[in-house]
Amino acid sequence: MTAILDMTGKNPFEVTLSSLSLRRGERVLFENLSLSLKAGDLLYVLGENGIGKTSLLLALSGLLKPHDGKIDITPNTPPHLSSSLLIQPDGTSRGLSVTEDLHFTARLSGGETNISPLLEKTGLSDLAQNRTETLSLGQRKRHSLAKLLLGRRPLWLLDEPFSALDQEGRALFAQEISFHLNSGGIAVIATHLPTEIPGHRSKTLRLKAAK
Amino acid sequence: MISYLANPARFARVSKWLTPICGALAATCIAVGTYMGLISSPPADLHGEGVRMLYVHVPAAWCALAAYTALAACSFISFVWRHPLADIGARSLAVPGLIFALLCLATGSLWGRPAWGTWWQWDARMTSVLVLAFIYAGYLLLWGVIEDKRKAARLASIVAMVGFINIPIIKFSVDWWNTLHQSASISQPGAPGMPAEFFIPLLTMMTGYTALLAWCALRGVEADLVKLKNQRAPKTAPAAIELSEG
Amino acid sequence: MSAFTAILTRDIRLAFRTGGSWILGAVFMILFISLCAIALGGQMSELRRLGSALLWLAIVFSMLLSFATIFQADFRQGTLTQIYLSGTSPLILVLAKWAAFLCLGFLPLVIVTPVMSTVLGLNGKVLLATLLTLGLAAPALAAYVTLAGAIFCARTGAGFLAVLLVTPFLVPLLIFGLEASQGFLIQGWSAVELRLLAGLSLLSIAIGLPASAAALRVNLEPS
Repeated sequence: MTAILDMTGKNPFEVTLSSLSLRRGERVLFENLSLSLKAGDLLYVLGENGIGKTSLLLALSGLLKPHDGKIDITPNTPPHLSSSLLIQPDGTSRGLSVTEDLHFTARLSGGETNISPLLEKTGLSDLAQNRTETLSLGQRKRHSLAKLLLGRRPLWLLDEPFSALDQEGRALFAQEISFHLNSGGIAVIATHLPTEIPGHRSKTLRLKAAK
Repeated sequence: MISYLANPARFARVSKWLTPICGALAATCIAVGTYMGLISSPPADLHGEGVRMLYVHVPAAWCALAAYTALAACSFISFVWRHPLADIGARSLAVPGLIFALLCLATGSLWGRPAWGTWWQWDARMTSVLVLAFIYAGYLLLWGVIEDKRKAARLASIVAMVGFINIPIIKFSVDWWNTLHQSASISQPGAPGMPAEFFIPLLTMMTGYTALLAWCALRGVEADLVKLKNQRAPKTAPAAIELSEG
Repeated sequence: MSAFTAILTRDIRLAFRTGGSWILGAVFMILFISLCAIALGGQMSELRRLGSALLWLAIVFSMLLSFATIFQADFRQGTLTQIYLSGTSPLILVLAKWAAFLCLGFLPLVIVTPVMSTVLGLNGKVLLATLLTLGLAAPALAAYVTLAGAIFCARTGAGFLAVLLVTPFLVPLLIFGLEASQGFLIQGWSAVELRLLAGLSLLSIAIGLPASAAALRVNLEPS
């Protein structure tokens, strides 16, 4: 149940999609997607709403089973244990304080429980005792970032991470993503507007509606 | 045999000859059994003419139970191997199963009226079959209420398996409860030790009803397969993929 | 194990913070018994005769009708998904939720039962018998209610169907529970019905909880 953390390069983390085809209900979203992501790779998934961006993230996290094809992860661990998923709704518990929610997340992943440095890093120190339902949208995003950092998973699957964040928040997120990539992690970001992550090249996967 | 039939095309070929045979068997047995039951078998001393209800009541109870057993088996196959034909099979058994259960209750009520003085008694069989009817109703409504049919199939198969394990428990507990609370004068229809004049028509009707159940289930699966085939064409084309670096 | 306690303590903490809806179960029980008493004419002799059964029914219905409180809120918030993705097995999640439901959905009813038994004119021995047999059966009752909660965690308004689905499985527990209660009154602790009830209860838990975990897994997959 503990998170995978080996990002030291001895066992490089890799994700390979082979002829992946995804379906939601009766609708086939896309077919025959093959691509390979290595440690340090950043993938942007672009496309209009409803085209399948979030579904791809769900498939990479192991929640959505592929209709056809497969997703391979090296080293051989189940997808839901090697990834952190950031989608809406984000799983924040209404009624808990920021600190309590972070502690809860930490206990689930068996991670460290000293969260004060985390609160400082994400700028939530002043809000530590506030209930999560009183947070603004931008503050909730920071809270989600804190949980992302707690999980310490090599594959980050982010659905619109930069939305609702101010300039400072965006910079913070970009910095953390950059740090994550430098440590050998992979990030897949579904978004409308790709933001530059300084110092990293990115691949782009564009899903276009068929005519 | 199960994996052989699992392919829809093969199933269609098998059901083409199997279904009419079941139908014919059902029709003959039920006709013969009904004749024997109504005309040629003698009435019992205790129940009078009403005993002829036995020939519908007991086979109906048997079939309601048999249908659920088959339904649970299909559900197990569906849950473990995820084959859509197993889902369809399970669902097609549920409607006739429910009807048999209700038929059993109705005939039990009609049969019991002269002996009981009321239209209903909470004896062991009536109560168990009533609970079975609830189980069927819940199963069918679950299919109906959940829109995503793939999910409905899996949830229904879980419920069917839990139900199947519970049925002997329910029967045992209701039987025991009945012996504690009801006086012995409330007679149990279908008691053992039946003379031969009852036994042969009863067996004929049992065979007929089972064949009828098989016929209903097969027809149901055929109908669902046709519906499925017509739905096969996807409505929207998949999205185009464009990968680029940088 | 830490996931189990984390989820259990979180659920109990949340229940006390978000408006005390856990009390509603106990309130329902009081209302149910009161309505029964009124409908039956308020004759103590009649109520005394039916009292044990009425208590059982009140508790069974109260637990059944709170099926949605187990999983629905967390499902809608996305927390169930995150718990699953953290690596917690669905069975551990179900165990924690089941334990929380026993604490929040059953214990308040136990606290109310002595008061209600007085209202129904039951003496101390009958109360003890009822509490004992309820204690043996409650984990099983809770297991089946958890199953209903898991099946319907993704949809609202499925109340009556959830009740219909699960009631057949509660019939043996109801029968054995009341018989064991009677058996205890006559034979005390050596009553065979108590052992039968305990066995049935364990069997029901062994069936209900894994089935709940499977149903939860089905609902966590996006459709």
